[in-house]
Amino acid sequence: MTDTVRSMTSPPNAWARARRIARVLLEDKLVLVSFVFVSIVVLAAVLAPYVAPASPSKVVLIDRLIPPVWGDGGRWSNVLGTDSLGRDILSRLIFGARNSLLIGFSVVLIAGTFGTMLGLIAGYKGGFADTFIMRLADAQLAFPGLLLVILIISVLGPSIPIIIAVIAVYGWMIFARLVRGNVLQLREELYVRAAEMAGCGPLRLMRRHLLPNLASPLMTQSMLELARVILVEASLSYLGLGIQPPNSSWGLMVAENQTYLRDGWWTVFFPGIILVLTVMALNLISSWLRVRSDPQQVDLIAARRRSSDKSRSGREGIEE
Amino acid sequence: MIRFIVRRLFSGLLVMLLVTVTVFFVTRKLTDPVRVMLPLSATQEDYDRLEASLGLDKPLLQQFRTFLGDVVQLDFGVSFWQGTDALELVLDRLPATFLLVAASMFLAIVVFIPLGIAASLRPGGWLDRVLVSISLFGLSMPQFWLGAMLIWVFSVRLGWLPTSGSGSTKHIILPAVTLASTSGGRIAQITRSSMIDQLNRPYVNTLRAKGMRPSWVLFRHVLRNAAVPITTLTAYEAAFALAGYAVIVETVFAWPGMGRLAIQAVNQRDIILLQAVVFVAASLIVATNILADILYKVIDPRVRLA
Repeated sequence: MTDTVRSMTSPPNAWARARRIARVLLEDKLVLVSFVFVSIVVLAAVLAPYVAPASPSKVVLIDRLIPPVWGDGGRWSNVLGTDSLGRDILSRLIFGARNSLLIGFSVVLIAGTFGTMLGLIAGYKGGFADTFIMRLADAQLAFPGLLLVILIISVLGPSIPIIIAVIAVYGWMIFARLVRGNVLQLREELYVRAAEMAGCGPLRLMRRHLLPNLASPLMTQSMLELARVILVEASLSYLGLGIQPPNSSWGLMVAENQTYLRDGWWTVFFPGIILVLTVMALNLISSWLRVRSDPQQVDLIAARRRSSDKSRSGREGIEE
Repeated sequence: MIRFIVRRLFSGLLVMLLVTVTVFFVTRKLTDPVRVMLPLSATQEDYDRLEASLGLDKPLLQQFRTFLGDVVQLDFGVSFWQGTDALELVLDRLPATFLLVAASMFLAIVVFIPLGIAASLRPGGWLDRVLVSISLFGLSMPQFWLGAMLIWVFSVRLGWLPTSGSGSTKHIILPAVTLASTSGGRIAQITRSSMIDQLNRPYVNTLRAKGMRPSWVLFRHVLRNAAVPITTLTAYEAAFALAGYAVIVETVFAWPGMGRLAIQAVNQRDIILLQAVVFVAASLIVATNILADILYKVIDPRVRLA
């Protein structure tokens, strides 16, 4: 709903919008830090072959279990140390990010698209389509999800496309529910009814009036799902049903090195802490987005900003 | 009430049917189960023999009818790996999983619900802020990593607790704490938010204005009203843990439960055993959900029977 208000009161200027987002981001330090952290992880993942100091699968047995640079015997060529096979931890982390994010984004994209489509149909059409889709979603939510995923992957073999497909099949329901709930509400809005009266067809109505209003709840949910999928992928890789060695994944790194905890805590600590920080940052960004798209909260923040702007306007009143 | 229970049982059956169809489709249609189970060196004779003994040489529709009949009679076949009845193997492991889930739910309830209540009394206070951060941290933590870190601190460095296995009370502490971390975080959050929601209702003011003792207001009235979402979520978390989310914790600590059996079945390429685990887990989650719905109704008579 706020999106419509915003788009009515301000010209749809992408640059102005981006600047406003940047300014709001600066207000909440924790969210800013999360945002920067996630950006770094994404950048490292995309540029992995260029930024990683070594190959993630190069085994150097004499150099095994070297501690991080600040530890006893640590060195700069392996900043975060090496694992039990002498592979560089930092490089494996960077290439692991690549797999985690590839799977995470693909699953959210696929599950989000299908879930949104089914939710739109269920909410807009109602009747049998609605009952059928929602019953299916309910039934699937009551499935022993993780075990079925294990069964399917163990039968089909763990390759990245299969992992993506299987997690996506278990992820569309949450999007369908969210979209359907919102559509049911939106359909009662005056402007939606007016558009319908004016002869706006279902497809145009969905594209022009329903989907833009769904953008912000979908964005929030996508962030949450991305965090969840990254955790699922890590867990599957830990269980040996995800990314396979010599490829790298954060979950796999923990599994590979768990037996060397006594001699090299860093081999297990770093992949886990990166995972925790990434998931936590995504959760924080998601809850911040939710607060931002809640009209009451936005008013509150705007009021606070106005009062602080007034006190500052003496110095930087020229802007805008 | 009886109509409600019958309806819930019916939808539970529907879920089980869907699980059956999914498992059948995945294990028979998407792959050749005989090839998966046999070693690479197997001859065509071995192949034919196993295919015939599993009834896989019959037409697909007939196979499905046999499969469905077997499931209804709780006959999941003989484990390829152990050579004994698959269902029996799963049921043997069930008590260990039950024990672990019960211990972790006990922890979650005893520690996190009081924490959530305490935090809700002063939203924005220091206790509230600490709890919100801790539960966020707990929710973001992969259980396999938390487990590994707990082993590192309490078993490797301090030597207080065993690293893995089962047998004594000491063995269950670390797995239970690990399993409780995620669900506990969610339980604390829902306790906090539903308590805050109730505390802002007008009836609380009325009771206080009447001069009722604050603790009486809190425990007799507010908590009882806030209990519905808390109970539902707790039951849901227990069902989730039972239905396979304990797999990870059981693997980290080599806890001899159902989840570990599933992973062992995967490693032994024993599809029949894995199938049995999935069915038992599905029945457990369906049963827990039905129980939770009935419990929900008992706690809060205002809930409409849907």
